[in-house]
Amino acid sequence: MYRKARKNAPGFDKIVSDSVARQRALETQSDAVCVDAAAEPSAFALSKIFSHNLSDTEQIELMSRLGYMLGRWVYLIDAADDLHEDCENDNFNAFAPEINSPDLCSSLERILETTVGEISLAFELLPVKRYRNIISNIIYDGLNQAQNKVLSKYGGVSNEQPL
Amino acid sequence: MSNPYEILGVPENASIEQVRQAYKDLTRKFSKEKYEGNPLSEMAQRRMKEIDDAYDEIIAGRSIYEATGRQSAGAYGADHFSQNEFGYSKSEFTYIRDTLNSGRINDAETLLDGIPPNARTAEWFFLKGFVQHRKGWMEEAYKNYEMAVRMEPNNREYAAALNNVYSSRSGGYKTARTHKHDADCLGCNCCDPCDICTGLICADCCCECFGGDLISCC
Repeated sequence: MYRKARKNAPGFDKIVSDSVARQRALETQSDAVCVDAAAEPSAFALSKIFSHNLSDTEQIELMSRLGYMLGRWVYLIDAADDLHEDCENDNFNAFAPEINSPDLCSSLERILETTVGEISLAFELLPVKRYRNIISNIIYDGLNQAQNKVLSKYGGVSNEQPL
Repeated sequence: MSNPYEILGVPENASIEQVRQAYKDLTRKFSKEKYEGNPLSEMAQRRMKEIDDAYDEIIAGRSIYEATGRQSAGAYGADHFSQNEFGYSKSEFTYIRDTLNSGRINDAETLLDGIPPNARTAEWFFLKGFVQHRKGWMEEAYKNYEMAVRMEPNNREYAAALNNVYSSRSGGYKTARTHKHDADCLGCNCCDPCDICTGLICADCCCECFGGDLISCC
């Protein structure tokens, strides 16, 4: 199955393996890492996957931005979900410095919602017509539901519902 | 030019009211305020120009009785570093601004990082924030814009950038849902939407690798 995948999408395995290596290196080094830097390897990988094989410069820019922000969101929602467990086990977590902050929930909500906002801005500029409703549902409903589920652990769910 | 009706997303027998409503919806979707300070603002401006031209073409083709005057859209102005919009003056960072305007983000960041800490003015923090905003580093961008504003509270350019960095949170995400998608949705004349679905499925797989679940049904 790997050979078939590699044939159909050459270069994807290198993009992902490089990203995993960079992520591992970043999470094991001793210097403090900001949230943006922590999310960078995953975000970068998805930006490359989304824009793979495109030739139109505008599409490349939009798909790269969309992929970057989605990769960033995936990394950060996972970090938010695992925050307490990672701190208990002394594992790396991008949000660990804020775990005792009274503003933790609002900070998580701000970071995640801003990222989804950026996904939305890129998606709305894409002239996608087929399956637009399905993709819209994932972006505007699916991501929001996943966020609400994670944020409920920290006592907060945004009162603003997506329209 | 592409079919103006397609651009506005209305059938060719749409009434003037329908054309006008479609134009209003699109204006709201790609408004200057929504994309102000965002790396995609120039693209949004080009899209808005297409929409304006399509609207003008449709209106011009209808009867004088039906057509209504509309003020010129020209509301977008120039890009982020335009002198007309923010009136910045030449400074030691002019070369870096020119580098950014030509799209060489990494080169600009290298130049900025080469400036020693004791020489980092408000403009440095603003430009650093701009670079980070372009890269997608929203949190660091905010911190640098905040420092620029703290150092020069009366600078409109810096204040606007600080206000805009989180604008996507409410302006983009929440209001975009009001757009009514065309039920037919036929014919994709550009990037393959399968690329997006593929990417979302990849994102779901990545999420599941880390123990999460982006799309619960697969």
